[in-house]
Amino acid sequence: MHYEHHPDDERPLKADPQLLRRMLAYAAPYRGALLWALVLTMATTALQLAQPYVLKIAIDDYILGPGSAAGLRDLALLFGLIYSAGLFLHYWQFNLLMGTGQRIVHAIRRDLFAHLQDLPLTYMDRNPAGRLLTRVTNDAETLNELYTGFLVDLLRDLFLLAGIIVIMLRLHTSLALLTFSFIPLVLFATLIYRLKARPAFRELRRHLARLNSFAAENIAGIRIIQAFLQEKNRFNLFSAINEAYYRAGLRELKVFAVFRPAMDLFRSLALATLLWFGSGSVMAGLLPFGVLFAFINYVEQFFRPLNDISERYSILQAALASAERIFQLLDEQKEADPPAAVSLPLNKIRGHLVFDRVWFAYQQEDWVLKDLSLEIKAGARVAITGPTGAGKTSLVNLLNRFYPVNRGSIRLDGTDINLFDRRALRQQIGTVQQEVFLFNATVRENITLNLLNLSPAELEVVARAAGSYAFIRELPEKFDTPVGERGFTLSTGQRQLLALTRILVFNPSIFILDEATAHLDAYTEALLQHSLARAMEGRTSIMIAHRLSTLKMAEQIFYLDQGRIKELNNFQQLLAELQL
Amino acid sequence: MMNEFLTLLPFLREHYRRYLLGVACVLAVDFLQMLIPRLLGLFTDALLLSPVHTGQLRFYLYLIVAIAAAMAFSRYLWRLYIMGTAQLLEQYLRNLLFQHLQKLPPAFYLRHRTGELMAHLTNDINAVRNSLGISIVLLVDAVFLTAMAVFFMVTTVGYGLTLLALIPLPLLAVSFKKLGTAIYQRFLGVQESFGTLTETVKENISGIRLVKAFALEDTEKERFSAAAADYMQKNFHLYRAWGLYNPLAFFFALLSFMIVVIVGGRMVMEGRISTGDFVAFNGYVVLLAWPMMAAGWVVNFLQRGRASMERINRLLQEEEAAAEGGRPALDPATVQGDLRLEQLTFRYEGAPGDALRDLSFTIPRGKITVLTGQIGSGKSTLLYLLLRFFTPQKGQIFLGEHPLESFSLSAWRSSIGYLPQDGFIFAGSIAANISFARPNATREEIAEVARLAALDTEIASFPDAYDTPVGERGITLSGGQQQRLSLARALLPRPAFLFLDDPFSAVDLATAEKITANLAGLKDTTIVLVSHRLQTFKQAHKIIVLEKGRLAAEGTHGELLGRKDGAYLRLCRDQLWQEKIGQA
Repeated sequence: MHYEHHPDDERPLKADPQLLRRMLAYAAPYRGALLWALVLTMATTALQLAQPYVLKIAIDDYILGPGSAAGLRDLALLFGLIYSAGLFLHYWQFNLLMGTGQRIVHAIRRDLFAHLQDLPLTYMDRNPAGRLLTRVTNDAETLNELYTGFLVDLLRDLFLLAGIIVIMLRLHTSLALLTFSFIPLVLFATLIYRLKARPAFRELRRHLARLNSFAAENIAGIRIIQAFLQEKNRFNLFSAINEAYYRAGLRELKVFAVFRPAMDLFRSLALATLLWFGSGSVMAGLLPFGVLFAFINYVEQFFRPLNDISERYSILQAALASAERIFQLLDEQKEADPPAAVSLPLNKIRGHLVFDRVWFAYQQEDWVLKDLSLEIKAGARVAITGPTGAGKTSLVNLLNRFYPVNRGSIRLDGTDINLFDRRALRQQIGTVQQEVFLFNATVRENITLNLLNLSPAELEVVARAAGSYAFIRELPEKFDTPVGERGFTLSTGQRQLLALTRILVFNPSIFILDEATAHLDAYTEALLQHSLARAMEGRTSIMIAHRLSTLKMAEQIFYLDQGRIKELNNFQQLLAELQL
Repeated sequence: MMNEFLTLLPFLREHYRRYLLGVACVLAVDFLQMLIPRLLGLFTDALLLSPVHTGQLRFYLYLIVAIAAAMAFSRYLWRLYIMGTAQLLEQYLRNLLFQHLQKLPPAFYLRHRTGELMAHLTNDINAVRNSLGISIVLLVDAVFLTAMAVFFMVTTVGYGLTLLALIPLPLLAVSFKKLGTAIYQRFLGVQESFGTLTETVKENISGIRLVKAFALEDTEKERFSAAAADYMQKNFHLYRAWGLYNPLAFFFALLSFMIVVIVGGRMVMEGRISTGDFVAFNGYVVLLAWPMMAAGWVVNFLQRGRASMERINRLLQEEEAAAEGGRPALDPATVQGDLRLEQLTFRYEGAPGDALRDLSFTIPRGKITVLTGQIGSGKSTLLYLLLRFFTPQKGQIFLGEHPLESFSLSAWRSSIGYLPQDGFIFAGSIAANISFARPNATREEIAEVARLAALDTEIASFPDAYDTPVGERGITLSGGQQQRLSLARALLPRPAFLFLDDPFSAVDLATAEKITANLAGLKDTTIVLVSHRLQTFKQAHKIIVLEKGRLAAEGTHGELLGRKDGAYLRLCRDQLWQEKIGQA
């Protein structure tokens, strides 16, 4: 998880019309549903508004008027019927709206994830996994609020407000205007609240971020804390942050504790004012009592959307911040293929590799490979050795087109690798690394990657050839045993055997062993040797290795240091000179 | 039924008065709120009476304003007392949990992931705060508002109409209870699905190289789409229950309203109650809708709070590593004799095999002993046992004639220094990291260990020298710098025992040689050092070779080389090759 405080949280929002346009574009396919939700909202709001009006009719026309008891009953029943229908519409509207929100977010999520798959590794290197994860999960979720909470609820509130205003004006103009005179007061109070609440809230979030990152650090470093007997000191530090967080929370609470009751007070003041002037009109016979009564009810309804609208602002703010981060990710440049991708003919690759004066740097001018030239003949078995950080793994990365070459070119069977479709190219290269990544899936799925459908018999044949069958056979459910982070724990050697099995299944033209044997014990390495030999059969093979036992398997050994490469023609002689 | 909350008893004992005051304020608000419809009723009656008594009308209005002001003030107070105390509770619980987590042994941390523990420290504590904050307000509201509303209804219009108007309420309560459970269950489903979604993305990002290498992008997109679609469906499922909440409340309120209009209206026509009574009564019915909805939320909040409290309790019940115990007077630094392992066997909880098996050897006092062997051979685990992070299942470690457990944990740990394999650095300044074990160490002491760790010249080149921040918000140290910083940190208290887990893996040969010489110069310091470096082997007094948790060989560099074709020889040849080829 990612507990780092995000600088974006503190940046003031700028209402970027382009951002809003892009967000609305995602809602566009659902405009029918959203429009319908709005219609339903209006219908339910209208029915909600009708309740005090019905009571007014009941009082003026029936209870105090000429109507009969039976008429009153019919009126109530009719109202009940319509109102129930309204509730049904409300339920419909809720499901429609929330469902649409989820559908939109789903679409955004799929785009985000798809985009993530096609981003170059340089981007993945720059951004911690936690941040990318947050984009797809939480940020997308926050957008949901925008579509459901903001778009429609705001419209509903505005509609409600407009409805009340129209009804009030129609019922009695001067009483209505009297009520509206409170609007500036409410807006002013809201403004004051926002000015006070924003810094308080920001401080609260800042302290929370500190609190969480401290706690996360503490959990990660618990062994050091305990080994150095620092439990008390660390707790004191934590407790101080916790106290600051509490203080900030209290400050925010106080601001809110003044604001909300004040809004309630304004409502009561509005009510009293209304009653004072209204009662005068009633006494003068200018106003039927029922109208005054209806006004009392409408004042209640009038203040709620006013309060809500101020709260919606903070939702909008959070959503826009998330949207900005999401679109930033979506705007990142994808990995590119040449315009007219030359499709690599499968099984016809011989595996003749040429690195022609290759220059490469992860960061500008910080050269990892300098003018490197290397030819590997089809079917050759070469080893590349050299100190850590010499750029050995970079060679593999370039060959896979995980990163672009800065200068020079890499050719496969005479064709620049940039001219191939990158996926087809990568499928021609099988790599075993020191740390083999396994999916949280079964052994079978980790071998076939769900791309191929192998029968149990076929699987067994390949696994035997790769030397992995011996341990797979011992697993509780054999090929169907779950492995990976949450499954059965496999040793490093076993994981590598699985990776080798995978390579035999997919049968690539080029085989790469990337320091895979560096830390294996003698016994496991000996087990692996046989499988390695099998994997190298009939393919161009590149071994990146330190170990003498691994280097001995190569026909040619290259030495790479500080971005330059040379062949070790005198390997046997060097070996003989090794004296301890 | 609420036993889970007993953990909070000490806090509640200290602060219950604030809660009581808060509850009193909520009650005051509720009571005052009740008066408003009544006043409106009186106002109506006075207005419709002829001749109208203007003074009386004005009096009622003043009263309404006064009551509203009193309500606003009480509302302010209960927020402060109840919500404020809930925040205090949050602080208390977080401190309690953090303090406890600090004392749990590493075995606990192997069983629990950081994310999971962070969830307890954040989400669960929030849920408990809500259950003892806003839900108290809602509960008081629900109970007393209902009671008072009913009371006023009875006094206004008598039992008959009141009972009639209340008929829908029990139905509402029952359906809300059921609905609440359904919503909770479905909410759990949504959360679970969100967890799967998160895991899918996480897995994809960490395996992105494999995804690209095998061109799995399309299958991954499908896999993700399935997880995301499931999440969407789970949400739809939740909405179908959740969406019933408001309509249901409104429906029952509608029933009451209809009863009031039909029956109450007729009573007014028949002159059995006044119009004012009718207006007031309607006001009470409307008021009742709120506590009914509140009751639903209370159940929800309490249920979540209870579940969270249960999870927190489970953590709090985890056994702490006892810091004291043993013979406190015994100081390991002054005890004579070597460190001795006797038939030490250790297996991690739930692991299929032993990590260490039947290990017996001696670590000479005041000398440098090097541990070597392949990955997974048990070197780090052996250090963990020496640090007393874990307890061996069989066998013992002795210091002189004393078993290690006879020292109190705090006495033992204050006599050791440790450098972990990953070179963990805390966010803070360089000086703060070095003086981690003794925050009040002087600059001279800090500079001296930095020199021993061969880091002093580099620190001098940092922007703020020793005050340069490192870690998350500071400068990024190279792997070698991290290791040497960790070494300085371990050296600072000048411990009698130093346990160093591969301190030179990212340090160049010359520097490593210099540091080893510095270490060899430390008087009366017993050093156990994990390494693969040939240079270090030569400088060690003793070398222990581990293979799959067993002792493969022990002796000096010369002795071990003498054994032809052993694991050690192979190790040395590989090392030598790398060093030689570097010069070639």
